[in-house]
Amino acid sequence: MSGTTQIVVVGGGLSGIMAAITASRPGAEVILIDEQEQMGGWQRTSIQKIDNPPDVLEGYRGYDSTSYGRRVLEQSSIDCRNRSVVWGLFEDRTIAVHGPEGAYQLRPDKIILATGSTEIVWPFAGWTLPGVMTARAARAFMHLHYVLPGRRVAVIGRGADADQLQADLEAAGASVVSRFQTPDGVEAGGDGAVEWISVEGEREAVDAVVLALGSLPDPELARHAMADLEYSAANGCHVPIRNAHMQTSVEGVYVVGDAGGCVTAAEAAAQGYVAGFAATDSDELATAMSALADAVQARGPHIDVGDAARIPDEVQVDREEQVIAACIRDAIQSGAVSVNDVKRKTRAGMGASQGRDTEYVIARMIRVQTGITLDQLVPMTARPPARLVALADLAQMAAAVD
Amino acid sequence: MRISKHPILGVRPAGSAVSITVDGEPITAFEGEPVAAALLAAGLRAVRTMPETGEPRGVFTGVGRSTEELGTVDGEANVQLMRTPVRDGMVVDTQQGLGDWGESS
Repeated sequence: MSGTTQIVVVGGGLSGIMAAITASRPGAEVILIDEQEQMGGWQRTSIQKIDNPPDVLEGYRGYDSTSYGRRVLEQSSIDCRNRSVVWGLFEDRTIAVHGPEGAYQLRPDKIILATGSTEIVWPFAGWTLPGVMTARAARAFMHLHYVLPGRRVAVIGRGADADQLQADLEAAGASVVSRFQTPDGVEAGGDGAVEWISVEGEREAVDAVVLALGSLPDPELARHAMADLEYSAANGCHVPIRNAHMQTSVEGVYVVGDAGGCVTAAEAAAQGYVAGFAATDSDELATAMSALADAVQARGPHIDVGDAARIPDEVQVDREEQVIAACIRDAIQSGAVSVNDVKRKTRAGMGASQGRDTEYVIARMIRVQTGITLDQLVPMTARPPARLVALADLAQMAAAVD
Repeated sequence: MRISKHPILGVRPAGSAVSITVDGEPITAFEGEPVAAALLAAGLRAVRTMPETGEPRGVFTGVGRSTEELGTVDGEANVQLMRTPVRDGMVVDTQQGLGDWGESS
């Protein structure tokens, strides 16, 4: 191979950092892009010891591991770009970026998508009230900014992550006064912001409600690139099909870490190694692939966080577009058989978050009413922009291209 | 409410306390922290109202992606409050609906 291979890694969490460092070898020019002000991904807000870490991060807590990663990046020749969003991935590996320097395009030889996961959310009565937030929002407030989400908090969610969130809240000085395993039947209320929560009766006074419902892979940019998808029972959604090198069906586009299906930290890192070596045609690829094979852990099937039949009719399923459950049920009743159909009929999923939150819920509402199973459901079409971009910035980029 | 000392993270790294104005009232904030954190620390959970229903919204996902976390800062509408650092003297207003875009001014 002659000349320099340009590689762009999107997402500066664990797998993205690993991919960038691995790919950063003689003959390769690596750009690492991340939307937050610092690299590290969601581990930046975690105070927990990393569960199942790669050897190099043994004993680290989440936030410590990201400081370590940033030190390694500082000593490398990697071009790190923070506060930069990739809002589109187009033909011929063209990436649209918006960062502090304005809007621009890149057209690298290889793209490694390490875009991580989003949080699962689920509608219940009162969930749009101020004071109701997700676990990641609560952790960002507590662990990055030393602000408590509330003094009296309710936590909704089952499993180890919800238990950890409860422990995090209590460590920070909040009282967790209610804990619900699922949002089914939960009702929150208050004047102007959340003041109480209940399930069939007794109201408990709270000033915050935190949802810890788990994570969903976020391969939105791979979907922009029209990568082939397959249903993953372990994730409860569609994920990009990849070969053993972590390459999608689109030549030169790789997906690593949670974006391809939620994995342990060790496996995310190992996927980063594989893609980094594969993208640079390294002789060490075989070693990385065997390390990945060792790190792979089987996961049980995804358990739905709520029962779609129990979402109250008047509750907003899409918070941004303010589309209520009854409206979505009517659309399904009148023939909508996919999330795209529901979106066209109701606007659900058309908000700035691009349906990432609502797709999970609407897919299950369709299943309940039609019997179409999740693996048979046509996945929602992902379209740019993946993040909010001002029209003025688009205009600026168009001018630059001309 | 501020966390004065966290059992694992310790005390907040020193920052300079500044004053910002929220809906006409002064609050104390730390320079450089996200506006949304300053508001929550002052007990202000609602940051905007929705365009058609007028219902209040606050920070939900906290990653600076959603339109629910937008507010009006120094007269500019639709500013991402989780992404915008506090500066001394900043004027923040609860955004009403789509906000005032100032066409008529």
